[in-house]
Amino acid sequence: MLWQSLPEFGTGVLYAILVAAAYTFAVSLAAGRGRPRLLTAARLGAYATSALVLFGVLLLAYAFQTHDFRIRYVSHYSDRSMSTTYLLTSLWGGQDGSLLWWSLLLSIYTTAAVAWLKGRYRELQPFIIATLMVIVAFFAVLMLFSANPFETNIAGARPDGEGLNPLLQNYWMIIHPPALYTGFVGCSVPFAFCVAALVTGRLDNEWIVATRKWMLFAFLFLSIGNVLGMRWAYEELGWGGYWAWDPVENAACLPWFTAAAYVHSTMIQERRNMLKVWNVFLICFTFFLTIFGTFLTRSGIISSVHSFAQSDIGTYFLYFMGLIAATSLGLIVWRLPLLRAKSEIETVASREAMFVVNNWALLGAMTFILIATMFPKLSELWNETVTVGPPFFNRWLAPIGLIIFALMGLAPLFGWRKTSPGALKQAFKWPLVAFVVAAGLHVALGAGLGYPAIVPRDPFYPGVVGLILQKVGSLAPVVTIALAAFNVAVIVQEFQRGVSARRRSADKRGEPEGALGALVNLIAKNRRRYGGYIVHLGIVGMFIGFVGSAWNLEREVTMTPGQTHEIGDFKLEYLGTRMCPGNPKCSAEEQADLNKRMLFADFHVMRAGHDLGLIHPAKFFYAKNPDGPTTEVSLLQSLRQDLYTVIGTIDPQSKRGTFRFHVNPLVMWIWSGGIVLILGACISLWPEVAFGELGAWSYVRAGAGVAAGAAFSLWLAMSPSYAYANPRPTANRPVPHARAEIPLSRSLPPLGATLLGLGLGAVLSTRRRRPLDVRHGQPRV
Amino acid sequence: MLDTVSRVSEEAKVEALAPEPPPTPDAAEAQEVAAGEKRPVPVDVFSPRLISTLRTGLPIVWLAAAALAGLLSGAPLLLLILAAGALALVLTLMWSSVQSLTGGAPLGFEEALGMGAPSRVEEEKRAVLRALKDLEYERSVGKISPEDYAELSARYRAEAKRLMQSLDAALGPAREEVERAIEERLARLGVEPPSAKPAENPADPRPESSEKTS
Repeated sequence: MLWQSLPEFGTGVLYAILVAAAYTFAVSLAAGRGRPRLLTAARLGAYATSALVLFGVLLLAYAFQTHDFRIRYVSHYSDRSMSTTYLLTSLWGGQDGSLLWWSLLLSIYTTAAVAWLKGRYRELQPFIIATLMVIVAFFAVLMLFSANPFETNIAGARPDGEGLNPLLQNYWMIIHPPALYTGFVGCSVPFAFCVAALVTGRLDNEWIVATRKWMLFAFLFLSIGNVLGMRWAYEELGWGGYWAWDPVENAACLPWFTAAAYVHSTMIQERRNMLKVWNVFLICFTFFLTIFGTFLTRSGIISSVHSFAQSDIGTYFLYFMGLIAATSLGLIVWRLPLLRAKSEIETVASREAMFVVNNWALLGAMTFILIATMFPKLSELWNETVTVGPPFFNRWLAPIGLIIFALMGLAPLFGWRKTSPGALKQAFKWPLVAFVVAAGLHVALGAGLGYPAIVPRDPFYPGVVGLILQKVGSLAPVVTIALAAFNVAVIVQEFQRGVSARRRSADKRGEPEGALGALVNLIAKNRRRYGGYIVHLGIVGMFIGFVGSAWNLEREVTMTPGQTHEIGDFKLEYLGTRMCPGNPKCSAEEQADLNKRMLFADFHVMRAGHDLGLIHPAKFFYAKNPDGPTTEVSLLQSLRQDLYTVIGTIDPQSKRGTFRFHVNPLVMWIWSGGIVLILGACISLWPEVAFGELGAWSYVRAGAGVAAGAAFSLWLAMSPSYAYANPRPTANRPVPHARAEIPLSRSLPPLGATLLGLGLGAVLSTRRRRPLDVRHGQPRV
Repeated sequence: MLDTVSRVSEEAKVEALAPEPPPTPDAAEAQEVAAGEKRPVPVDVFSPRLISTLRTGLPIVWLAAAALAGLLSGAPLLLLILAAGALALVLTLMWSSVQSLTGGAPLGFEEALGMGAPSRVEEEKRAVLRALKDLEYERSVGKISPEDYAELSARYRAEAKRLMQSLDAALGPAREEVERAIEERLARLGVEPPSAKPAENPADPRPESSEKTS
């Protein structure tokens, strides 16, 4: 019965979501007049709406698992041969389902926010819930009238579906969109807080403390989502890089810049009661950018490799963006008298001044990317289409990125309000020494190691601007390495000063602490501050990885079996090809795969006389898409450099093939830096509560979080990989297949997932057995 | 007992802290309930402990049943059972919401507590205390000169003192009023006020323990 009416029932559930959200919105507004009973009704309504969205998602997942090809979305994005895992990931593989998935994430955030708000910010609560419900209602309207995931095929049920795009059948793609969506949707909660604070006029500094944590959480997932996206592009697209300045990639990083600016500028408001207008603007703008990014992806106004099918969905987004802009600006203008700063920046030699400059640099980078991304569309206004390619972005963003990188190191050296010349001299001494020594060493030794300090660039433009950009581009490697040393010295110095201060204080109390104990306690007692420094350390790692592209090597060669080719330190011997299934050298798993035919090219790799094993770039010919083979990259990775190999073409008769080999230095630093960044953000987010205060149930929940992370890691480790590499000697051994070894690249997702689990544990364990300050119904601070 | 009384007394202050909202039906109802007048206490079939157990137990049973079905029959049945549970959850929550909206559900502790939202002064106090903590850190790592520290510290401390005094002043009359209301209530119930209870009974350890807790 259910099966017979599933599409109609699913559409009915979407209507129910809209009705429930509207009901909760109305009750929330009524509760805003100070009636606690209505607030309880609104809270329960928000929970019910969220559960309803979950119900809708489960119905769609059921439709995928039962191959209900009457539903258009199911028939477009799945087929009968797909595994259970990929059938689940198909939920967000296309536009309609991804909107439902977005609604689910928003519902999870709504549930978390409403649960967390219990007993807190009671004046703000009604308007927070109302704002979140407007967003839920918008997505419900979108699905009902433009992108219904339960819509049926006009011609009736098909015998089989079209299948998920092969490019999306990759384990990075399993976790990249949910992570990015989690970041995007996470910006809704700070926006809801902001609207509530503006409506109620409660614009003191308390709400901003709560908002910062939510924004930091969104920032964490925006970072994870972007890094995973880079990793996916690196492994799956096969062009040799990780970031191509595609409009959709750009749209994903825009809110990252404003969120990063906000988590810094909010500290100024907390400490100095300044920048209130700026902060509310940043929150509203970050949320606006998440919707704008989605609009760019979905409307198809800019051509992109990520674009979804063309539809009229863009119009809905335009209206919604208009509503957000009008509401935000209207509320800010209305509340301007309450938002006036109560103090001002006294001197440039202060941390707040540095943060303001840093904010402007971040906003500058964001604005540049935004305009450059939109430029092809904007240029149509004067009847010509100007395309903006990666070289344009790379040239211009190099100086902006270096300014941000320098400011990241400079700001912690200053104190709040003003810093005395003596303190500044003391603070700058060792970081400057590190800067000069690193630059000197790079100039002296870099060329010998294959990483020259200065890489000559061609002029990009005629004139002075072109000359400046050329010089900056040429000097970027040495400046980046020197600034990385400067930043690391600042971070080490901050930790050292904190540890020393802590040990002095402990000595005075007569309870001396060891250096390690003091370090652990220092981080534990100031998680926000030192977690932030660890995030900075991760960004240093990523910058080192980015600058590695200055020394990239790329070759396109034609080889016949038995020939060798040298690139950088590597020597590759072409052994031949094999088609799986069918070839006896194929693994059992490859032999059993009936969804595709896999053409592997086997290479034996040596470096400086050491046998590094075999690598196998491949072309996959999917049964559902035989004319569009996918390129499967084979990688050998290390902290120093990656060997990246791709098949161009292969003559099936002579086995003569054209291949592209890349040596990409320091790319591993990007992924490692990303993991450190995640670790730092988790420390910052970890609740300020001693272990002794946690109830037993919280331990259980934290344990469950970690266990979930570990299980997730295991699952990822066991998933099939398309990056074929075997870094071990292979004498007297058959050609290995993907599961024979787990290369270093494979250990990163489990590590990341474990960190995710730890973060989950942290979040789950936040609800503590807290003593109530019964005078105010708030936990004691 | 004194502990309980003290807690009730403190809870009651919450209402006094509210910026005198116009009397709403909820507030009136809360007063009636608090005073023990009018409405007789209904006989509740579900005790709070049973409800609490069901709240924890049912989701666990639901998830366990889904997992078992998934293992035995596969993903479709697992999803179907999860969907059925989600639908039951929707109905329960919506029913509770409507009950709350129409006044069918009794006023909960959290709701009563919510009548006294934290005041702006209280939040300002927290911000100043946080600023003082940061200032101490800046001094300990040498990022601020002694003169600046002394000036800022004095300013923040004076501000914190002013805010705390302001809070205490606002609480004073309310505290007296609440204590009087509690005494009246206890007298009506026939319970001797704790202050009048003789502490010399060596067999009764309550006064000592209550003193510690209060």
